[in-house]
Amino acid sequence: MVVSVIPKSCLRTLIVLLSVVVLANCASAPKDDTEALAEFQKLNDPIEPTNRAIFSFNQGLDAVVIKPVTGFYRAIAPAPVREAIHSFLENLRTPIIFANDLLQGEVGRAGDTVVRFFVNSTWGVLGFIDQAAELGYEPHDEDFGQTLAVWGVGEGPYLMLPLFGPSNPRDLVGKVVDYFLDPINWWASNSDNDTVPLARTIISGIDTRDQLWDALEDIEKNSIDPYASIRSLYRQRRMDDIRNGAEADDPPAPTLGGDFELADPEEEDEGNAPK
Amino acid sequence: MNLVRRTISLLSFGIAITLIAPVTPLEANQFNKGANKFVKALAKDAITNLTGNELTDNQRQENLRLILKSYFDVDGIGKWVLGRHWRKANADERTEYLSLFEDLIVKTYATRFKAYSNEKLTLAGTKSRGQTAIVKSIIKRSGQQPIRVDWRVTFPDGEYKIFDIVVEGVSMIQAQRSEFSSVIRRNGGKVSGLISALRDKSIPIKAN
Repeated sequence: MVVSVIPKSCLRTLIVLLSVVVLANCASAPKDDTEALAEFQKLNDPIEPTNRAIFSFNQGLDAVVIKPVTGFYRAIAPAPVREAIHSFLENLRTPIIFANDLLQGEVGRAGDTVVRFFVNSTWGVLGFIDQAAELGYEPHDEDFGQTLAVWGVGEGPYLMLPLFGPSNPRDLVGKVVDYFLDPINWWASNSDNDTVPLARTIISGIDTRDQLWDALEDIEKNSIDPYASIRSLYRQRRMDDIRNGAEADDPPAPTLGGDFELADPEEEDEGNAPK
Repeated sequence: MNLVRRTISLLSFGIAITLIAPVTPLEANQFNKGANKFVKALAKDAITNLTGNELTDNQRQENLRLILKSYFDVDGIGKWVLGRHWRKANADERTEYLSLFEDLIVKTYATRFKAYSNEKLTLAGTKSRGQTAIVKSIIKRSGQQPIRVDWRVTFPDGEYKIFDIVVEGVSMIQAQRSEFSSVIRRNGGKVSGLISALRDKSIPIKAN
């Protein structure tokens, strides 16, 4: 989404700059401790120092701009209004969700997406009310990052993006592809309405921050390493999204006998294409 | 003689078969039923004792501590979360860690129950998985999307205990383990680094 906002030359400089910072700042793998090495490889966060620096930047940006703006939004708009705006934004995402449903071969879910769109755009007043959910057509989300995962593409190393937060190369590519899949963006670029995608990005950003409000408050209050917490939460959530909420194929169960070398869900699921 | 022996061994084999075959699935089934009831009881207990508006923060935390101790395998979870570092920790560190871990859980979840507003928990079936049962549930909130919560129930010392809560596919003990191991790694691989971080975190519990 950021693609359209930043001029191309700026973007190029940014990428060059980023790669310099990233290369200069690689985490070194532990050498003599095999367990520590195994953990390091499993974490799959080779540029952790850079990621942490970007995370600090994001936290600063959140404290100074994003959180106050979202707090103001929460103060003026009561929960039902915010929920309506969230539904409206979700309805706008229909083409992306539908395309990715199809690309994943989920014909049934693609059908649900179509029904949801027509019900909510009409009876649901342009998508502001999720009437389809009342009829049993529950919302679901898809994106091209998930599609790539279903096609068997691994996530790659963990990435913390400026402004957009936790990601990985696969999901980053997914974000860019989704941008170009979106007919609203085609229309905007063909009719010189660049402010529309920009406004949508900003409103979606505030909506996302609002949806994550309680979770982030929780992390802020109770986590002793928010960066590590968010890394784990993001990966586990993505894994669940990719599986469409179904259970993992061979889920590890903590056993009774104080066995501390249990399989790790994050490790087990790595690159596992869901069925 | 030979015939007698063979008859006996055949007989005992037969007995063994009849004992094992019907009992195993029955037990799993009963275990699941028990686990299901257990989660139901926990939900009821939690709503009764943790969600009242009249509760002070301290009361809520103390009630939660009691619930935690009777329904959760807190020490088992604490050990699992520390993972391989548990082996390296000395006796004093283990004791202090477990007590700080309990404090952290109490503090974290007390705030969540404070924000409770009539969410309804519906059980949605139970599955066995190895030696544990997974009790599925849906938490419905007014005007918002329901949340999927799975309760992983074990049977450590002859009684049901919850070992993990999985919210929308996110395992709480897994997230906790990642966080702790990162703190230890960044403190030169020392458990004492985690303990002092937890100590710092547990101070505001009184100030709240």
